[in-house]
Amino acid sequence: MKNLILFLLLAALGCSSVPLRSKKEDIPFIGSMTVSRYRLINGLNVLILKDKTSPTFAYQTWFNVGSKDEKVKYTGLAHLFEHMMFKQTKNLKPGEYDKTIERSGGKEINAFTSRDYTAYIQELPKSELELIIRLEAERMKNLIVDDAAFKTEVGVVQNERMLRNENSPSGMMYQKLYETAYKKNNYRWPVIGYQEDLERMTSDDARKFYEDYYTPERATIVIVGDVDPDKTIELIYKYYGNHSNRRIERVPNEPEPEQTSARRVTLKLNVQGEELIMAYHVPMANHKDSPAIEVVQAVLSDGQSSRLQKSLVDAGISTNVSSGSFIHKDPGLFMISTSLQKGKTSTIAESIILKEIERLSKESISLAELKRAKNLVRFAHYSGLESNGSMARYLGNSELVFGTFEAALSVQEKIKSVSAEELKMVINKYFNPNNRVIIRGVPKS
Amino acid sequence: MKKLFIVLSFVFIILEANYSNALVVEFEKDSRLPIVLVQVAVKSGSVSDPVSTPGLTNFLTEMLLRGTQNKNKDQIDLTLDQIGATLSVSVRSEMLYIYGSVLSNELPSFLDLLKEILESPSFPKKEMMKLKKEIVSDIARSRDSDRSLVRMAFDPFFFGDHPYGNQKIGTERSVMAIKKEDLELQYKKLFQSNQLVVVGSGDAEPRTLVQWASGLRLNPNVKGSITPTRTPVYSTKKRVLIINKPERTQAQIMIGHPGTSFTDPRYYSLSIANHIFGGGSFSARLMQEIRVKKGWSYGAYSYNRYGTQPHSWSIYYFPEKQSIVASLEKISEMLVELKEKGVTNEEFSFTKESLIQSAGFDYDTPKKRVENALIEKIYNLPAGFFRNYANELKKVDISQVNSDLKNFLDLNKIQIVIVATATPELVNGIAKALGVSKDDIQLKSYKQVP
Repeated sequence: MKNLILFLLLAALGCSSVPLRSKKEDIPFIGSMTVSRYRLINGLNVLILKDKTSPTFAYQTWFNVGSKDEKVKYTGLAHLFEHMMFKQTKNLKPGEYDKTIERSGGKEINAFTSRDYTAYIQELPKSELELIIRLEAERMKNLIVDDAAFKTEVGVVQNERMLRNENSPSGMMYQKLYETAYKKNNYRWPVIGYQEDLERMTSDDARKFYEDYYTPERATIVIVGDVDPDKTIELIYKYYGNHSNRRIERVPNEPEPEQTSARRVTLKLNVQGEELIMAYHVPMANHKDSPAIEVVQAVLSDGQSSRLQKSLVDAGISTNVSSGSFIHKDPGLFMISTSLQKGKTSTIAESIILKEIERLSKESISLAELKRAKNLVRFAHYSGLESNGSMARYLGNSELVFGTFEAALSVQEKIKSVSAEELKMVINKYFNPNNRVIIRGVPKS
Repeated sequence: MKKLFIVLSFVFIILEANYSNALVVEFEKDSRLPIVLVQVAVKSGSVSDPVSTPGLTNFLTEMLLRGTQNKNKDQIDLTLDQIGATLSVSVRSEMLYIYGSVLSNELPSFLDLLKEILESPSFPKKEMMKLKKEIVSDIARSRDSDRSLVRMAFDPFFFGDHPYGNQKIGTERSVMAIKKEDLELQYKKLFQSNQLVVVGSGDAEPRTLVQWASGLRLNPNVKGSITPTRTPVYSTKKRVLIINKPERTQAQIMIGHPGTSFTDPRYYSLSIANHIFGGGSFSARLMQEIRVKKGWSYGAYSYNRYGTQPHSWSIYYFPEKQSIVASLEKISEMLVELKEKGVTNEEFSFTKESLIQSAGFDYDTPKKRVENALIEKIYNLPAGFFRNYANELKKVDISQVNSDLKNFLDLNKIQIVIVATATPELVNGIAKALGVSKDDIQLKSYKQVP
């Protein structure tokens, strides 16, 4: 608030070109690494992590908009719009955005959309910092949604949908899982949308979406690599500082009513062997039970000596098994998925998984097993942070899903003190039949 | 001209040691995160499978993690999990490798276990039976994914009986027939110290890995135990294989052409040409024509695969079923144009600059740098081959690219594999689009792959 008053005062005095920001905050990350956080007066959130390992940097822009922000009959718009961001702007002709970055040596030029957010990512040589800031600021403010390009892109997304869903057995199963687990919350539809909705959309819908959601206060910029934070933030002010905040009324995502009985669907698919996904509703990312739920995952399926690896894969029932929380801003799902060996049925796998969960609900796990699980969680955390791009992704995802990356780091810290009793408690609280969704995929013939 | 993009790695210690037994070790220290990565590679892979037993090398490599003289699989698994480590294996045509990561404070225990796994595998029969069932199920599952299916069908069709056509994972029949004696023989043949390369990076002292590697006791070196890969003989006739799978709304298509090797004098010019045509960039011709202008496929790419011998240059995309024929016609036209007209000045200068500027990303992390060193050793390339890429590109001019394209491309030699729901109309359309007779189109059920 203080900043806002100061900004208005200076603007009135004709000093609007003077960059303003909240006080720079330096926050410890991992080891000796520190993240600097800045927030511009227009709401733009910026995280900068200096790491001189190589003369490059990762630049990522995370927008707080995903498929959860879509409306019924307009499913898939967030993702389709993500494609439009690579088209043209007021000052960039079609194709010029990609060409300019490629010419400068940029790599990993990509984007992805989830239920909660949409992110745009690039990696560049350190000399190209101002270039990428200019280009990203330009497409945040001056995008042009051309009718013909929109129509072509609808075709491309329909093709992507065939690849990821229609012609992919696992894609079909995950779509059905979310449709079955959520009845009210917007998480229920696939991020890529439904075919009929994609056909219905127009370029006007995309333009409205851009106006409503691609605003500074919904954006977090993450920069990791060989950059100087203070010089970088000056460039950010230069190019983003005059972006006005097109604030819109937020429509909260409808809370999902508590599930009161088990849900089960069997899909007949073009598969050779059976597939099984079992899911339980779990709380949102920064809930106090999240650390214990992460440890449950490690106990069940992380590593070759985990319980389900032994009872399903080593026992000759499945070819693989995995589990994990699909953590969202709203309450998410803990999923266990397994592919059955030839001739084995998913009902056998289901009973084995349920037996393991029952054991965990009744018997406290040993200290050795608990230590093993925590070690694996710690290892997985570090091994996902090896490059500028992966560190930026961790920071961006954490900011959007947990609220701040510090909150995500604190989950890692809390995992160290999770006890066997807490594990038993979360198993009994969340892993019960009424909270369960089961999707089976069986061969058609 | 922009400043060249050069990676400076002053902060790291790189240590390389060559031993008399020809074992090579390279380690780069990086203390940012408390983990260490170790890779042990053998200079041969599925090309050394006996003709009668495709999948043997893959089976052997998987079995290494399933029992030693002193530990059974459960004990190996438990040790790894207790110390917070992973250990995996992978087999390529001319390389197999065992790679893992560990929390740095547990590195000594990890290295002890890895040494035991490499030196004294036991190939327990019970584990062999289990692995056979897993692999057979995996083969069946690969048929569920159209993307896996097209890749699985491509190499055998393209390379015929050359070892590059070997099915890495094997077939249901070959895997079930593997015996313990086969594994013991293959282990003796491949795991000789003169065929090993060890690399690592992370939060440890380089001497730790060097000392460990020098203490490895493997099989005696036998000269000539691994036969060098012979040069592939490519089909001189355009051929098509359609993998028929019901109810497909989309096709998966791979178009293959004889490739080059790293040491081919045309390596740099053809790498620029590939980038212009379809090498991963959004500005490439394939992406522009197939995705941006027509909206036929979410992606369309071309890429080179390399080995000690010329391998393949391929195009991969996945059009909706209505666009299969039109897109094949378009790509055929584009290939003819590439051969006859070459690349334009604008494309050439843009791509050359882009590749030079971005070359540093190929070695911008310690992990990538040691992996590059590993590939250089495996393929007998000069040290620094990958780091020197940008410098070599600078020497290439457009006339060289266009003349190399002319003598490289032989459009009669392209081989096409398509996963789709085959109808008589589709087969006729494909024959017409590609200018082949129906006799040159093979049809196969997806259940017959591999």
